[in-house]
Amino acid sequence: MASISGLTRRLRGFAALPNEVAALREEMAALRETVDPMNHVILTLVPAIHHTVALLSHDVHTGSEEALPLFVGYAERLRLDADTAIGAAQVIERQLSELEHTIATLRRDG
Amino acid sequence: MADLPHLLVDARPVNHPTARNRGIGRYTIGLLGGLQQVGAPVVALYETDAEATLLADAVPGLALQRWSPAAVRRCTEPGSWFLATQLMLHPIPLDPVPRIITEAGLPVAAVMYDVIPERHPAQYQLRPTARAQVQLRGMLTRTLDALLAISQFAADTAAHELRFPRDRIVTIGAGVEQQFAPATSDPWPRLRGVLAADGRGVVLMVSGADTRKNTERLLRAWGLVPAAVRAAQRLVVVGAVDDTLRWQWQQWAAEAGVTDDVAFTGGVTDDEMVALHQAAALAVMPSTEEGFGLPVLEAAACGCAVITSNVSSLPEVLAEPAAEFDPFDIASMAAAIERALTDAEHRTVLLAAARRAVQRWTWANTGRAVVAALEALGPRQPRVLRPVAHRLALAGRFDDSPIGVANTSLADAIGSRPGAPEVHLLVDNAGTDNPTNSGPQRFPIRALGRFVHPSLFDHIITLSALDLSSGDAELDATALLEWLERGERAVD
Repeated sequence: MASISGLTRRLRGFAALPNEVAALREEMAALRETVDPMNHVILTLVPAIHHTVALLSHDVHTGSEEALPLFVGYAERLRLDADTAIGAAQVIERQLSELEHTIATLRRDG
Repeated sequence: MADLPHLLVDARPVNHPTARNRGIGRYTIGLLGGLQQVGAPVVALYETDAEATLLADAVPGLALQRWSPAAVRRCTEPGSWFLATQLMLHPIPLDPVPRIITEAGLPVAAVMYDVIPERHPAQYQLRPTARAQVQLRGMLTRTLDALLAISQFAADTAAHELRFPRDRIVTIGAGVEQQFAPATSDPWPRLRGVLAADGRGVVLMVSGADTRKNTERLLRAWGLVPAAVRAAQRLVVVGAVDDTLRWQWQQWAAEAGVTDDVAFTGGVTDDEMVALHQAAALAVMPSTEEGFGLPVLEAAACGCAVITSNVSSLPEVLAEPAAEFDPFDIASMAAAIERALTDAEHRTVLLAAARRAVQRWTWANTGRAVVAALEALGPRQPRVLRPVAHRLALAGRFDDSPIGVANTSLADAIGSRPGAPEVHLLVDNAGTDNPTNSGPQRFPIRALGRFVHPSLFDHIITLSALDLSSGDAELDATALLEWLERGERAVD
């Protein structure tokens, strides 16, 4: 399976052979096909997580009594993890873009 | 060296809830002002009307554009750069490098303030989430083309901690806001709300909650300063902290025997901060780590003698060894304070260093350094610039209700037109058991703003607000596209 780190390693030692460029482009496209839907899922699910936590908070605050701090802790963790997932999606998008620029340059040279 | 046709600067931190009261919001305003002063082709990209108003007031005449694909499209040409100002706040979903910048292929430089969380994990990476975010920031940084560090220390530590090529980090420094200037009238009336005059002078420390501010050692050092000196001066510690920390500071002051010789003001307004500097005989900056040390420069700009710790970026600000002390040695700190208050010849040296610092560290110099750095560095690798796609977001219901079906038909009709913008759906799921927010270009409407940024779209149309009642999706699509085109022509 194609990976960002694998592609990066190969590009570092790359000799600009035309057939290799084509293979890299195919792997890049495969990565895009994997990553883009994942990013979309994250962007769709994270707001839902925030919304659900907010709704639950409202319900739990009225009935949880001494369990409230525990719930709030979990809820906050869930929100932060969701936000981190958004950050990770942004980073992956940038990494893919950088790889695409590198491969595009090789293609012109090749 | 290449010319710089456009410099897009992310201006959103100026009014961001977590950034505007920190250095980042103020730094962004100063940087934009400096770039404008030196005639840089700067465009400040804002998201909200509040940001635009604040920027227009702070930097009159600054070129302002709302974040949008069109704004990026207009500036996408060889040699142009994007300057990310909120990398430090990443990766809470602030979008430090918006997707449309990445899509355009513009080279990206980021202002590097410090890497304190990376250097002190025991204090700043306690939570697993915090650790993950620090790691992500490093990964994101390594996709950038250049870092513009606010000090040599920030540059060196960023290169090490983030594994970023040192030769692509340039030091650009910082400046000071104009309001920090020597007093033209008695400052004490402006301090009525925070500090009662008691006939003594002021030794000022601008502190904060972080341990690295070194407040404890300063309080203990103040206790070692001769009582005769303290009889004529009062140590004033400024900083918005919670009650627990304030109590702790009071305890340390009591242990040092200086309870009556210290005042804690809490948070102060900008004008009160200026007045405090103008009233002070001496400012002390004992931090063990800063990215730059702006309070040093602010004190200097007010004509106040300043002494600083001799570690991290602080020696760079004054560039005067006579003004430095060991921040880990309270005896050294006490001796430096006493000498700065009682030795007239030494004070002359300190005041001269302060004047030199104010001349050296200006926003105009920072602006010049940014332009020179970007022109000299160029992108890290050859880039293929691409016009950002035209995108249209339609907000409304897209379910199997009559309205949802009509909206879906309209979206399909627009999407099928040759040369039409990419259509994205912001789906309102309210009141439906059958949410329809799956699919490659659909997002729940509640994602708009914090997660799906408005900057991604040329237009966001709320369908319920439009009068598209022909009942014919093709006719409605034509009407809508013509209306949008007229609007774009008017803007261009």
